[in-house]
Amino acid sequence: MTQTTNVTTRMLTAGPKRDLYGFVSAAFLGDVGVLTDLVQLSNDKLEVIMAVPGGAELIESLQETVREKGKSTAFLHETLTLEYDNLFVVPGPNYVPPFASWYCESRETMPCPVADPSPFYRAVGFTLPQQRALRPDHVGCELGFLFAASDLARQGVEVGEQLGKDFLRRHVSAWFDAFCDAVTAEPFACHYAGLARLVQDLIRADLDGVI
Amino acid sequence: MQDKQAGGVTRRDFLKAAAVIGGMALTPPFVLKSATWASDQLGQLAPVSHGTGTSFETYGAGDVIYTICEQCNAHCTIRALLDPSADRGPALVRKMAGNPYSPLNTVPFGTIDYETSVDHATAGQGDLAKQGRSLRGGRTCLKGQAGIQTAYDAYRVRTPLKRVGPRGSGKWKSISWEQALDEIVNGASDLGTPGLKQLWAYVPEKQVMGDWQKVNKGILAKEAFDEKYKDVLVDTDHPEFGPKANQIVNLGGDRRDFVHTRIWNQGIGSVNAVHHGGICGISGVFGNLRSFNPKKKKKRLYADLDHCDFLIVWGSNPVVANKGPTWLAPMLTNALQRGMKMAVVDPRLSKTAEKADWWVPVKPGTDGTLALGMARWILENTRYDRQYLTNPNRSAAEADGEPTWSDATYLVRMDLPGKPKLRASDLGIGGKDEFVVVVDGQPTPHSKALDADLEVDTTIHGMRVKSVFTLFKEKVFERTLQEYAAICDISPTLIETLALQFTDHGKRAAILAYRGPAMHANGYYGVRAINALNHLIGNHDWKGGSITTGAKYNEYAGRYDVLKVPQANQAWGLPLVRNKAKYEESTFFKRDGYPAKRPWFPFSAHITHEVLPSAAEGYPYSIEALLIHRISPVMSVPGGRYQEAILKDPKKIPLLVVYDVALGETAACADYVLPDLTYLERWGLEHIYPNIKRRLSSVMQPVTRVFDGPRSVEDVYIDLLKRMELPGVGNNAFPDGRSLDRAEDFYLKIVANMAYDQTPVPDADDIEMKQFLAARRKGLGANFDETVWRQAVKPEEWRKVVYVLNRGGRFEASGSEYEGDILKYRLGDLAVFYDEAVAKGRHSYTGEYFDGLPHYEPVRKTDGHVLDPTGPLMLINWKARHIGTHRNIASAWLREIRSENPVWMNPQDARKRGLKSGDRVMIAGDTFETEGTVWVTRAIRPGVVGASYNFGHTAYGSRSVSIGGKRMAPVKAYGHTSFRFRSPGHEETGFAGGRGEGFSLNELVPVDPEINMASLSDPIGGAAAEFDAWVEVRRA
Repeated sequence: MTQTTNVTTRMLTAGPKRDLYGFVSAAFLGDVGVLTDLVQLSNDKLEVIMAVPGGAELIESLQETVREKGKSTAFLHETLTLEYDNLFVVPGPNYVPPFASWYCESRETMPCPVADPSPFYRAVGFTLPQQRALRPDHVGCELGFLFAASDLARQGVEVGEQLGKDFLRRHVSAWFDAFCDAVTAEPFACHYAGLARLVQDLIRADLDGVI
Repeated sequence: MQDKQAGGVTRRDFLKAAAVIGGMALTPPFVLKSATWASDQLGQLAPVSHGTGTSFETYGAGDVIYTICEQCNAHCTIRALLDPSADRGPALVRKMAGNPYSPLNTVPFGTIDYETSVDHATAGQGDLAKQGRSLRGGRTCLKGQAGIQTAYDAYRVRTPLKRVGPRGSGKWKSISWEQALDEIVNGASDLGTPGLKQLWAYVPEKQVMGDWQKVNKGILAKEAFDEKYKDVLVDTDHPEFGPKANQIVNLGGDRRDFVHTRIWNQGIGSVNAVHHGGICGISGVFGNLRSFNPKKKKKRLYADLDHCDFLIVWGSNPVVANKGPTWLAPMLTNALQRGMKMAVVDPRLSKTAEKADWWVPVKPGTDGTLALGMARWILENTRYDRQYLTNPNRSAAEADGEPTWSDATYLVRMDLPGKPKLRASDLGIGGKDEFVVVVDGQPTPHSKALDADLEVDTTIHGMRVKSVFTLFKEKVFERTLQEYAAICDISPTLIETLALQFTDHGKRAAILAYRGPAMHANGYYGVRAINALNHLIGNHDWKGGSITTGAKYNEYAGRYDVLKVPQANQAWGLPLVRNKAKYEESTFFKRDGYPAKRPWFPFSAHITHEVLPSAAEGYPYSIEALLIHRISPVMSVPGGRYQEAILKDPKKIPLLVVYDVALGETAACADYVLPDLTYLERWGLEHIYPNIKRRLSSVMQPVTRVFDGPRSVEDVYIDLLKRMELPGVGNNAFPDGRSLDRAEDFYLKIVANMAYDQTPVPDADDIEMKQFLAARRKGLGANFDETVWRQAVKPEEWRKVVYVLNRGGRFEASGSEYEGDILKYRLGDLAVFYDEAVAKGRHSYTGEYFDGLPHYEPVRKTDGHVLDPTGPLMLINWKARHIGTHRNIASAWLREIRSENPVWMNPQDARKRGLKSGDRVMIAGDTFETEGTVWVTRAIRPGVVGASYNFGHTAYGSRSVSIGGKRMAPVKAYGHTSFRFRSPGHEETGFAGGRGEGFSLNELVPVDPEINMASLSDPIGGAAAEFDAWVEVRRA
C-alpha cells in the first residue's frame, strides 16, 4: 500500500469515528436532543446502531421510555434532562462526578497532573464551549477532544490519529471504565448506563484498532 | 485494511452505525483551530508527566487577583494567578505567590510603590532580585503555595448534608439549600431537631433588670415576673442569664466582625459567640494586655528586628509559625547577618533555635521562673533603667525623651484586701483617677510628678503603702537565682548571661514571645514576668526595642459604619463560659459559695475549650443550638474525644449545624453540614500584623469558584436571619439605610472605608477598570456580577474601591517608620508592673485573691492544688512548618513533606526505653493512649517529648463516609506509587501518605474529670493548659 493510500484510508476511517465521538460527546455534555433524535430514526437505521455493542441497550431503554408514555418524545426529552441533571450536574444522592480527576488514582485535587488534559487541548487549539463553564476533564470534553482529533485526521493532518490514540490511552481510557461502573451501578441511570457502555465499547474498539 | 474484530465488535458494525449518526447533522460545541495550525503545533506537544517542567507562560493583569491566604492564621497577602489560557471563568488557579505591593511578602527588597499600575506590577521588570519580585510575585510559604489544593480538594462538601443515621454515624444525604435552611429555622420532625425560630426569644436588658429590681424591692410579685418573662428568659430565677437567644451559640474561627459582632451580638442578640482564642494564645494576649494600659490593646510581644541588637525569642518559632514566617524569617536571618545576637527559650531546638547564639531549653511551665531569675540578677546588679522607671506620667517621660512610662513608682495599699493602688482622692490631694507617688518624701498625684521615688515602704495617714517597684523587688527576691535556676532547670550561669546580654544593648534589646510561656495553667504569670523584663529596660517604642505596631487603615467606619446594626437586639447576660464575670457577684455564689461548680474567668474571654463541657453540664445554663464555622473542637481542644461525645449527644445540643469545606471531624457529628467556600472563593477581613511598622490593611476577595454548591457563611446567615425576621440583614441593615443582602454589601463598604481613610487613594483609570473586570470574569465567571458589586458602594466610590481591590489592600509607603529613634506607630502609654484589677479578683474555687505581680506560680489544677506529674515525660507540641492547621492535611503537596508527626525524644530517654529512631511506640497519657513513631534527637531536652499537632485525622477524607448511600472512600495514598516510609528527621521527598496518618496530640493533653473532662485552664488568662501534659512512651 502506498503512503497516499495509507493517508486516504486513515481519512476515510476517521470520518465515522469522528461522528461517533461527536455523538457521545454531545450526549455527555447534556445535549439530550441527540438521544431523542435517535428514537425517531427508521427501524432499519436503528437496527444498525443496535448492532453495535452497547447500542442495543441504549436504544431499547430510549424506546421503552417512549413506549410507556404513548410515544411522546417530549416526555423522553424531559426524562433525559432530569436523569442527566441528577447524575452529572447536581451533587446529591444520585450524583456521579463526570470528571477525570474524580476517578484518577490520587483522588486528591483537580487538576492533578495525570488528569489535566489541557496540554493536549492547547497543542491543537481545542477550546471548550464559550457558553458554559466546563472543566477540561469533563467526560464530554474529553470525548469531544477525540472527536476533534478524528476530525484532524479526516482533514489529513498526519498525526491526528496518533494524537487521538495518545489522548485515549493517557486520559479517557485511564478512568472511563471506573466512570462507566459508577454510572451503571447507579439505579437512577436508566438511559445513560447504556450510553456509557456504548462509549466503553467504542473506546475499546478504538484502542484495539478495530475502528 | 481488514475487517478487524475484537471482542465481538467489527469495523463494519461501527462504520454503519457511524454513518447513521453522522447523518443526524451533529454539531459538537467545540472550537478547533485550523488543521494547518494544529499540524504546526503538534510537534510541540510535550509528554505529560508529574514533576517540574520548562514551560513558560506570559500573563497580564487580567490574569491576577490579590487576596489573603488562610492556610494558617498568619493571613499573608497573596497573589493568585489564573490560568492564562482560559477563555472564560471560572478559570483554574494556576499558582500562588506573594503580593509585591505588600510588606509582608517583600522582605528584604521592599515593596513596589503602591501607585505602580497593576500592569506594571504584573509584568515585572529588570533585576530579578529587586524588581523581578513583581514578575512572579513576592515571597509566600509552602503552605500558601499549596492553597490551590484546599480549593480543589475532591473531598469538598458541595451540597448541604443532612444526617440520616445517628449523629456521627457517617451516613448522610444531600439536600437542597432551601431544605437545609428551612429545617434549621423551622425544625425537622424526622431528626427531632428544633428550629432556630422556635428557640429564639429576646428581650432588652433594661426592661428585664428594671422589673427584677421591682421584684427585689417587693413592688412586683415574683410570679408576675415569671409569667411575664417565662417565654423569653433562659431562667426567670436567674434573670442575669439573659434572653433565650443566649442559648443559641456560635463557635467561629474567622469572620468575627460579621458573624459575631453583627449577626450574633446584634441580630440574634446572643452573647455567646466564641472564637478560637482559648486554644490559641489567649493567656499570651491577656498577659500582654494587662502589662500595659489595657485600652491600648497591646496584645503581642514583638521586636524591631531591623535594629535590635539582642533578641530573646521566647516560646515561639517565628521562622516557621507565628505572624508570620513569610516576613519574620527573612527579617530574623537578615538581623543575624547584621550581627544581632539571639537567644531562643524553648525545650526544643526549633528551626529558630538552630540559628540562635543561645538555646535555652527551659523546663515546660517554668518560663516565668526563668524570667524572674533574670529579673533578680538585673535588680541585684542595678542593670535596669532607673531613670525610665522613675517617670510616672507622659510629661515626665517626654522630658527624658521616653515614649512610655511605668507604674513602678505608684503606691499600693497594703492594708486592704485585694491591695489596690492608692488614689490621690484617698489622701484628699487629687482625683479618683490619679495615683499617688512619693517625691522627696511627699505623697504627690502621679500626674504632677516628674521624677518619683522608686523604692517606697512607708505609712501615709495610717495607711501602709509600698511602691510597685518595691513590691516587685520583694516578690522577685523571694527566691535566689540558684532556686529559680533549679526550678526551670537552666544553669545560673546561662541565666546571668541572658540577663547581662539583655541589659547590655541599651534600648536595642527585646523579647519576642508567644504561645510557649502562655498556654499553661500559669500562663498569665509567665507572660507577665516576661513583660516585666522589657519594662526594666524601658525598651518600648524604641528603634530596636519592643514594638507596638500593626496600624491599619480605617475599616469599620469612615464612609460606612459597617458594624452598627439599627434597631439591634443588643446582646446581654452571663456568657456560657462565664468570661469577664465575677463569681462572687453571681446568684450561683449565693447558692454554692466556694468552690464553684465550674471555673469562672473574671478577666479573660473566648474560653473555647469550656463551651461544650459547660453546655453539657448545663452550667450556668443549657444550650439549644450550636453553629460552628472554621474551628474544630474535636481536632483542636484538649481531649477532643470528650468534645466529640458531647457534640454527638442531641440531649446536650439539640441542634448542631457545622459549616465546613470538607467533612471534618466536628462536621461529622452535626445534624446539618453546610458547605462553606474556601478562602480563595470568598470575602474576608482577617489580618493581624502586629510586627509590621507601616500602616497596612489587606482584603480577602473571591479569586475563583470551584463548585457551585457551597455558599459563604455570611450569605447563609443573611438568609437565616431574614427567615427569622431579625435585624442586621436585608433592608436598612446599615445606619444609612442601605441593605445587606450578600457578603459583597458588607465587605465592599469596608474597602471603601479603607480607600478614603487619610488621603484617599486615586481612582482606578480605565485600563485598570478593564483589567479588574477581566480578572474577575476570568476567575469567577458567572459568579461575578459587576452590578451587584457596584451597588454595594456609592457610584463615586467605585473606582477607588477597584483601586484597592486591584492591589489586594492598602499599604503605606516605606520610609516613615521612625521619628528619630522612636517608632511612628507606638504604644506611647503606661507600662504596668502591678495589675491592680487582677489583684482584686479571686479564684472561683479557693476564694483566694490573685496576685497582681509576676511571681513564681506552679501549674495548678482547677481546684487550685498544684498539679503533680502524671507521667515521667513532659509532652509539648508545636506547629509543623508544613501543616499549620488541621485543614492543611487536604494538601498532598504538603503531606509529601511529611505525612505524620514523629515523637521527638532525647537519646537519654530513648536509651532508658531501648528505643531508636523509626520505632513504633505507644504514647500514654493519663486518660488516652495512642501509637506513633519515635525520632531520637538531642534537639529536645531530656525529660520532655513532643510532636506537632494537626495530625491523626479521623475524618476530612481519612475515613470513608456514606452520602446518599454512596461510599466515599478515604485517601490512602497519593500519586502513582504506594507510600514509602521516610525516616523522621530526613527531608527527602516521597509520595504523600493518607490523611489519617500520625496521631492527634491534643488527645494526650490532660482533662479534668472533676469538670466534665474539660481542659485545665489558666484561671486568669483563660487559656487551655495545652503544654501541661505528661506521658510515658514505650515500644509498641
